[in-house]
Amino acid sequence: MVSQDLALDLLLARVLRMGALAGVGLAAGGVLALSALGEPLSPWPLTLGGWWQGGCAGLRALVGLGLWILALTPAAMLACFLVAAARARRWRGVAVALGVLGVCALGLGLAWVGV
Amino acid sequence: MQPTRARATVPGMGLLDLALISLGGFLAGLVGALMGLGGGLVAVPFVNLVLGWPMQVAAAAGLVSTLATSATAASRFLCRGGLVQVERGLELALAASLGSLAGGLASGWLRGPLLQLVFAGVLAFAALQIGHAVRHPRPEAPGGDCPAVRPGRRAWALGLSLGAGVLSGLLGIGGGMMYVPILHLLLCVPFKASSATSNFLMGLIVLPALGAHAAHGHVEIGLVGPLAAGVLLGASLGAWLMPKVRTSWLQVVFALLLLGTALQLVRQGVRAW
Repeated sequence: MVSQDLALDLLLARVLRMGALAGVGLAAGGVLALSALGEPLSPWPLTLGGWWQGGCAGLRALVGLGLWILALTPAAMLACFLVAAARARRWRGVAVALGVLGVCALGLGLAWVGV
Repeated sequence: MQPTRARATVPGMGLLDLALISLGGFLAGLVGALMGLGGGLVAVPFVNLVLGWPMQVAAAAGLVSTLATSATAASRFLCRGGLVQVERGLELALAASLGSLAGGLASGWLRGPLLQLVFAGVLAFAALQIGHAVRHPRPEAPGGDCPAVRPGRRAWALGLSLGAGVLSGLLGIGGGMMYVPILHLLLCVPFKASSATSNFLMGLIVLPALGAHAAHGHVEIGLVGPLAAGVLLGASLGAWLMPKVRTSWLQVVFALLLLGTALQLVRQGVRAW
């Protein structure tokens, strides 16, 4: 019988491992494929918003997706923790997790629009 | 102050360049894991001094590598159950992530030579920390519940985490060498649990800084993907090797290498000032 806390730890571990492997695999594989095909690696859209709006396509979009997955992995893990803490009525944990998620969202929002 | 444009001066990269970047990342991850440090502390000087990219670009690459390595290391610790103290760690992560966001934003307006000098200071601190660990090996402390922490200590821990976060965001390092002592000495978390919790926190802490670096245009796609893949592989091998090899002599060599790198950064930083 797996305790509730251990089950949560295992879930968080799975999210982290899968996100890191998928993100790095896509980003590195995409760059390798671009280089092997002789396509230029630069210039890229300066902001993440530029990527989303069609600034890059094909293999370049795959690289972008990999980096997005890698960047969102800790946030996804924290979101899982947030849900678990809310279900267990651990409100202090919920509040702190929301705060951290807010700062992460602020950083990603900056990356979206640029400075 | 004029914002620095740290875009790459290298227009395209061949397979050989990518192989070199991956190999460097692999070695950085391997050595970093064997020494109990994140890959960023080795990867950032490698990208800046060996590959010749601007300090800000090297820092962004270090942050991406830290995201990858901390995720895999934290997943290993989480699988052991109870080792990662999530809620206690998240309080530090809140302060540190605010600091890292500020550091990431500031990196766009600070000059590369200044960042090199600050990084040299951090490397020297890491070398001293490793030297201290070699001279005074830490006995394995038993785990257990943490005692109640006095409010004064908690405030110190939050303040220091904020500062450590600024350095993480500015220099592209995970900052484990700062968070482990904060957790262990100030919040009374057992040493192994501190190390595990610090790895868990790093991804959350560097994420806002990475956003800020991306906003400044410091994320070079051709660099970060292969480097992160190399660091990830190297760190995984290092974590597997660590219990099997004696690392005390390696630690001495590594501490000397860090000091040498710090001197090189100072030399370059002063010359380019």
